[in-house]
Amino acid sequence: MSARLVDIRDLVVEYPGGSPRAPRVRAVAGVSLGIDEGVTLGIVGESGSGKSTLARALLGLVDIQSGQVEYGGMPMAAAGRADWRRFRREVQVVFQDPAASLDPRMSVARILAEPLLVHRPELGAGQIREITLARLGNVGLDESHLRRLPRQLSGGECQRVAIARALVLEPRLLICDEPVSALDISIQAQILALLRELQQRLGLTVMFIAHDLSVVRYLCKRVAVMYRGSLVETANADALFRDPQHPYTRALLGSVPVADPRQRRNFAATAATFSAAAAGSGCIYADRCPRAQERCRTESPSLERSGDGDVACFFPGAGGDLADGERQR
Amino acid sequence: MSELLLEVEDLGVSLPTSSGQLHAVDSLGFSLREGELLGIVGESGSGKTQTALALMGLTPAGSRVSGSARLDGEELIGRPEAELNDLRGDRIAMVFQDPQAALNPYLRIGVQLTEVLEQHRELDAVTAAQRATEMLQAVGLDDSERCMRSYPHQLSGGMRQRVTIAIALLCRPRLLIADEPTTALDVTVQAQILGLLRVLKGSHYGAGLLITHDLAVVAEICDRVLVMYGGKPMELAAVDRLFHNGHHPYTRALLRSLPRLDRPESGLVPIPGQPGRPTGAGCPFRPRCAERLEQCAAVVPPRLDIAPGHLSYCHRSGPN
Repeated sequence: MSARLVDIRDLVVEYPGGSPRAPRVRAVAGVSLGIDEGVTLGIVGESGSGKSTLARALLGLVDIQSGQVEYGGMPMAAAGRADWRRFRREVQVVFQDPAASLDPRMSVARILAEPLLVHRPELGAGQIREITLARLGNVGLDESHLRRLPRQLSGGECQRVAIARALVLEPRLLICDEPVSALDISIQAQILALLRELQQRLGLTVMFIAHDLSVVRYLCKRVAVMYRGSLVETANADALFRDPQHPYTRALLGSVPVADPRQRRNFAATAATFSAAAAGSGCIYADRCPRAQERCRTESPSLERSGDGDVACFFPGAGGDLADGERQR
Repeated sequence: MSELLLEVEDLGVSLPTSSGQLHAVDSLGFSLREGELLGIVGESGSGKTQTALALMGLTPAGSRVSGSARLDGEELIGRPEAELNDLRGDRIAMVFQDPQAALNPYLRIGVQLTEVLEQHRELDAVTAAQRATEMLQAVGLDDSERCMRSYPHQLSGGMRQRVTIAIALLCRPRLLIADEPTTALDVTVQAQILGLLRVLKGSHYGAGLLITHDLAVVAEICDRVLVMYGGKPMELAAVDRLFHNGHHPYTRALLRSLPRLDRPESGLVPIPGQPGRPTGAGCPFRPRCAERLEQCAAVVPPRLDIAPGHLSYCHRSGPN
């Protein structure tokens, strides 16, 4: 069993509502989640499920209402300046839009050198250049890119630079928030293959946030599924994709189009309804769940061990339901 | 064999850019039969959206459209604006990627539907409202009365896209063009919208063009696929043939580069380089093609008839 690098417990994050009198929006509603060293954890969920907010809370970029985040055994709430400095060095992020996350007026050389200038002031210019070039090589770029500005790079190249920048400080944890969803298919494949290679070669711990389940399937060892701010299921990727336990995970997997006409799913033309008022005390998925019973509307299930992972459902497992769009045999 | 609905021949779109004319679409031809859903797949810059806009007469100012596109035998290219206005929303309709941008935020949904009927069918307000309500129900908005009274911001993204589909289908168009209709939606909502497009075909529209970058979406609901690259057609085939017996090196490379939920062990082989268009007459995919030949740079690839209804534009004529 490898060591736990990140431990998130009962995390709650709220944002102000749309107007002063509107209720606060609970983006993350009591999430507990661990990330072990060397593991690539995929966080999946639809828009508004709280996956990006979870990452931002871990990074200390949003205020936490309650709960705690522990990194390397230390509660971040108690962290001092030096601890945060170490955290900022060891935890790096790659965002969705590479063009927006690179300073348009900095050359690639400057973009890659900056983290080193801040965190490793002892290095000389020669050493910085050496590290920069090595990292550029890691992401499939070379010396010829050093003097370019972001606008002189393609989207894929920008994302490679963003990844190289995240790597120059030899991070322990790499957080990727939808790093390939803005890219063309052929470029997406290049970046995915690169991330997989780097993960294996450098033994990185990765938190990989994505809405595309095929991408998560390709990269991640472990997967956590979020729905409306809560974790509904976590499991090893193989088990989760083979035998999803939570009805929401099943519906999600059943909705992913497959690039093979022989495996058509005959998606149902399900009707849409105005979303009901926030569920009271019951399960957050009860209003959409084909399995919901009386108990689901009054009690909220907590994460319990089921099969190989943890699932927040009173009636987990394959069940008898055919969630919408589930594969027709 | 069902009736020919759309016939596109030698379609070209050239756009003015700071560095001269860009041939966004070049020598494109395909046809569409009644009841068919054709997927047009390509990466950015492949010309798939400009193709759709050319059919709608909506290419940007200063652009030049050449060739021919006949809807039920009637030429669309070069039609005067007034005639196009009568056609659009009536016999050809379009659904865009972003439903938020496609709807007027200041008008209730009901108004945005009935104005189409008043324009094209000259219906009175009561009849128009009734037809609009029925259409909202047809696209799965069960609470159609409430929906008619709502403003776009009161609906979810998936509901808004259902509304734009309802607007497009009000006059029962012969041709429905959907440009990345599910790209901005969550995957469970995408499945619902794709199901809807499939179910309504035939009863609510004659035939459809689905423009997308997502091969999996095409595999799920289209009958045939046209693969484009750099403004040119690469391959055209029935879905089963394209996905299982694809001929063109680009098609096969694209399929190998997809992460697959159904085949996690099969890995993924990226295509080197990036989408673009080299100058010169040859095949636009050649700089990235692992199977390129000497003539690929200079000579326009021939059109190969691989099988009935299966075309490939490539210098490699042998079986793959």
